[in-house]
Amino acid sequence: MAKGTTIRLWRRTVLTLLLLVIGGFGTIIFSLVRLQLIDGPSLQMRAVDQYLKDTPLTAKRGTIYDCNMKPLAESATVWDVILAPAYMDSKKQDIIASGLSKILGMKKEDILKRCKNKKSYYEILKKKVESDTRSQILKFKNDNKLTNEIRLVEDYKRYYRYGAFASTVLGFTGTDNQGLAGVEAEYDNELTGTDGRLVEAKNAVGTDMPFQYEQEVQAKDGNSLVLTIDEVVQHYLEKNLEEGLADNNVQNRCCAIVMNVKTGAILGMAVKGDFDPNNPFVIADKTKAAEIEKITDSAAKTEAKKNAQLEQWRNKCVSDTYYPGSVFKMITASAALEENLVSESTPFNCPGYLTFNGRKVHDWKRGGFGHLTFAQGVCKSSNVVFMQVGQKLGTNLFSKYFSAFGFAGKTGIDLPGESRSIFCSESSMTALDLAEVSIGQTNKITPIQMITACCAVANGGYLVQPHVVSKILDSDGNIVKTISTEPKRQVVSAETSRRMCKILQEDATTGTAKSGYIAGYRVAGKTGTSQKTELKGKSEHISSYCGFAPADDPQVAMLVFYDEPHGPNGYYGSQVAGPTFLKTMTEVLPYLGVEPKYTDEELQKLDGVSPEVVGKTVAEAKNAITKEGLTAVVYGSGPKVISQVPGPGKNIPKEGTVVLFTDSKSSAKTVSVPKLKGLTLAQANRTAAAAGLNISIAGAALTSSNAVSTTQDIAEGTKVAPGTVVTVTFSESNQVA
Amino acid sequence: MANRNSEAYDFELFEPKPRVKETPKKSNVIEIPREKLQKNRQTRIGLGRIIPAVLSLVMLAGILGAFIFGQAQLTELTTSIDKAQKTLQEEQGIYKQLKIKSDSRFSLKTVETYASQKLGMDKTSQSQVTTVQLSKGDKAQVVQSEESGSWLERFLQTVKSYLS
Repeated sequence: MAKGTTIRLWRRTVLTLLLLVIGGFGTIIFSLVRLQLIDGPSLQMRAVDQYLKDTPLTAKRGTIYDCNMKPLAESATVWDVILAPAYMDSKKQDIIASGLSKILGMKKEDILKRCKNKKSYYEILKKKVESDTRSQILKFKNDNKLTNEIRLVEDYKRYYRYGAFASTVLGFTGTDNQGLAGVEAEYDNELTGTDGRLVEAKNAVGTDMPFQYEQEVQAKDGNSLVLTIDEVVQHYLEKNLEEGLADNNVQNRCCAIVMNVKTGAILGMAVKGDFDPNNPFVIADKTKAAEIEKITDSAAKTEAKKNAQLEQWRNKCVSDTYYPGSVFKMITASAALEENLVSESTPFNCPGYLTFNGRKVHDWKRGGFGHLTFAQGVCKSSNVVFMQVGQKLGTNLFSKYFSAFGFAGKTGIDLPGESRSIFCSESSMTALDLAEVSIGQTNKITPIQMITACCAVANGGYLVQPHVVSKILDSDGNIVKTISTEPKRQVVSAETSRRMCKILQEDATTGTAKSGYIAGYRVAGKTGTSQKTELKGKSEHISSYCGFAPADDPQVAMLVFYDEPHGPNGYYGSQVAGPTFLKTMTEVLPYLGVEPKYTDEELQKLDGVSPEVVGKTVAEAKNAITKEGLTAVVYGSGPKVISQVPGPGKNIPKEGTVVLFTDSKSSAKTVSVPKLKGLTLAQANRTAAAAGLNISIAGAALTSSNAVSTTQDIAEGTKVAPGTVVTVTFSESNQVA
Repeated sequence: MANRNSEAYDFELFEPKPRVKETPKKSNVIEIPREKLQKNRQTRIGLGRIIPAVLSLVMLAGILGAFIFGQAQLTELTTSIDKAQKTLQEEQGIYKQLKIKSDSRFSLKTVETYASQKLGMDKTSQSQVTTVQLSKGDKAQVVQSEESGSWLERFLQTVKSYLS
C-alpha cells in the first residue's frame, strides 16, 4: 500500500514539475520566438533609431578660379546653431535664451519658445554663423556648463571675395548651397560634391559612444572650375563701364564683353546695374530699393521687390536682345565681299534716302553723301549704301549669312538664360525688311551673338564657341575636363576677313569709329546707334561700339553697349560707347602683351617728355625748355628754379607749357580746372592755356578735326598746380554711325 | 569434448573434477609501510616547481597586462588624434574664412585707388618707353646665352653646328 502511494505521489510530482517546466519555459521560449523572429526586424529598427545617430557630412562645394587661378568664389566652414530642448533642464532655458539672444541678435522670446519644445532634439536656431559668433557661443557654453543643449554643426558658406565683381558671370548660391544663377547654376552638378554620412552610437543621455560603433562614409568634395575670365581685364572693363554708366546717365543698364578672337574665351563680361552675390536678395540699386520701401501694399511691394531682384540678376550680355544698329553692317559687308558682289572701290550713290513700297528710309545724314565707294560707305556708315548692298545680296544670301554667322540660333555659351534672337525669316522678308535688316534694324540679337560674329570677321572667318569655363579640376587639383576651343565652322574666307579688318581699321582711324582710336594699336571697329522701336511713344536708343585689335593680327575683341543713355554726350555710339571702348582697350591691350607700333604720323602727335630744369637758373631752364619745342612760364622772383610742373620726365603734349616756380610762395599757387567737355580741340586748347594748364589728347582728335571733347580725367573745379596735364578724350560729333 | 570411445555416454564428465591447484601470482604491489605512506601523501613544494610556475604566471600576466595597456594607449591616442584632427579642421576652416575676408579687402579696385590716391602712383606713360624706328630691312635678333649641358650634349651640338 505504501509503495503504491509513493509511486502515485511520485508520478503526480513529476507531472506537476513537468507542467511547470513546460509552462514556464514554454512561455519564455514563445516570447523569445516572438521577439526575435516575429517582431525582431521592427524592434531592431527601433533600437537603431534610438541608439544610432546619423549625421550627414556636407561635401564642400568646388571653388571658382579666374584664368590665373585666383579664387573668385569659394566655400568656407561655418556653423549652424542647433538647440536640443529634450536635453534641456527647465532651469537653464532662460539662461540659454538670454545668452543666445545677445550673441545671435535674436529675440529672447523666440528662442525661449523653441526651448520649450521638449520633444525635439534638433531645433535649428540660426544657420551659417561665422567663427567669431562660434567662439562666443563656445565661451557661453563653457561658462554656463552646457553640453548637449546647444550644438554647433558644421556647414559651408559661399564667399565671393570681391563683392559685385563679375557677379553676373559667377551667379550665386541658395541657402542649401545650390547654384541659382550664372556659372554656379550652369555647372551646379560639377561644383556640388557628394555628401557623406557618419553613423555613431549614442547612450541614453545623447553622448556619443565612439570607435566601436562609428562608421564613416567620407564626403566627396565638388569639382572646381577655372574660368576664362581674367581678373585684371574684368576689373578694367567694370571700372570703365561704371564710369560710362554715370557719365551718360544710362537708364536701363549697360554691358560689355571682351573676347579672345581666336578661341572664343571670354576674358571679361560685365553688366552694370548688377548685385553683390554675397547678398543677392538685397536690391543693389539704392534708389530703386528706396522706391520699393515706399510701397504700402504688401503684395505690390513683394512683387516689385521680386521684379527688381530678377532684373539685377539678369545677364544682359546673354539674356537681352537688341537692335545692333550699324555695328551689324560689318556682317552685311563681309557677306557682300565674300560673294564678290562688291569690292572696296565699288561706286555707290547716296542721295540721302531710298524708297521701299512708298516708304522712305533715310540715311543718318539727311542730305546724303553723294558719290562714294563701298569702303567709304563703311567708314561713313551710310545707311543708303548698305541698303543697296542688302539689295545686291537678296533675301536668300542675306539669310544664309545671317544663319552662318550664328544669329539664327543660340551661341551655346555655358551660361544660363541665353535668349534666342528674333529675326525675319527668308520667306517673310519684304524689300523694306531686307533694307532695314541690312543696316541692323528689325532683327534683334544678343550681345554675345554680335561679338561672336565680330570675332568671325576678325579671325579669318571662323565662328568660335564663346565660353567662360576653360577647365574643370577635381578636389586634388587634377584636370578632369578641358573645354574645347575648336571653331564651329568657317563663315567667310581668310581673304575676306583680311579685307574687312583693313576697312574696319580705316573706320576706327578716320571713319565714324575714330572715338575708339588708340595710337599705335591698330584698332578696328564699328559704332552703332539703334532706336528701340518697340517702345511706342518714347524715343530711346542703344549706343554700342564693337571692335578688335590689333587689326593686322586680331587678338582681342570688345563690345560695349549702353541701353537708354540720357547724358550730356547724347545717344550716339561714337560719343557714348566709343570712349569706354578706348579707355578699356588702352589698359587691356598692354596688359595682354600687345605692343604698340607707331606710324610716323602717330609719333608726331605723341606727347613729349618734360626736361629736368630744377636747380638751374631761370635763363638756363628757359633755354632747355625752348629747345624741346615747349613754352616756359615762370612764377616767383627767385634766381633759380625750385620746382616745375609737369615734373621732370613726365608726359607733356607737343608745344605744351612747363611752369617753373622760383620761390616757395609761388610754388603753393593753384588754379581751378575749367570745363573742358563739349569743346573742339582748338577751344579746349585755348581754355586750358587760359587756365594755365596743359591738355593731352585721346580719341578722335588724333585723326579728326571735327572732334568734340567728351571726358576730362581731372574734374572741373579741382584745384591743381599750374601746368598740370589734363587728359581730354574726343569723339566726332553728329555720328549716328 | 567429442567422445572418441564407442560408449554412449562419457561418464567422465560427471565425475568431480580435480581442483587445479592455482599457482600464486607474482605480486607487483610493494607494500609500503604506513608511516612512509603518510609521508608520501604530504605534498612536497620545491623550488624547482615554484620558480617555473611563478615565472610562467608572471609572463602571462605581463603579456596580458601589456596587451591591455597597449589597447588602452591605442584608445587614448586615437581619441587624441581624432580630437586634434577635429581641432585642425576647425582651425583650417576659421583660417580660410579669415583669409577670404582679408583678401576681399585687396580687390584690384582698392589697390588701384590706394596706389593712385595715397601713394601718388601713375600708369606707365609714353615718356617711359623709348620707341625705335626700324626700316623695312632691319630686324632685331636676341642672343640667348647657351645652357651648358653634359659633355655628350656639347659634343653633339658641335657636330650639328659643323654639319649645318
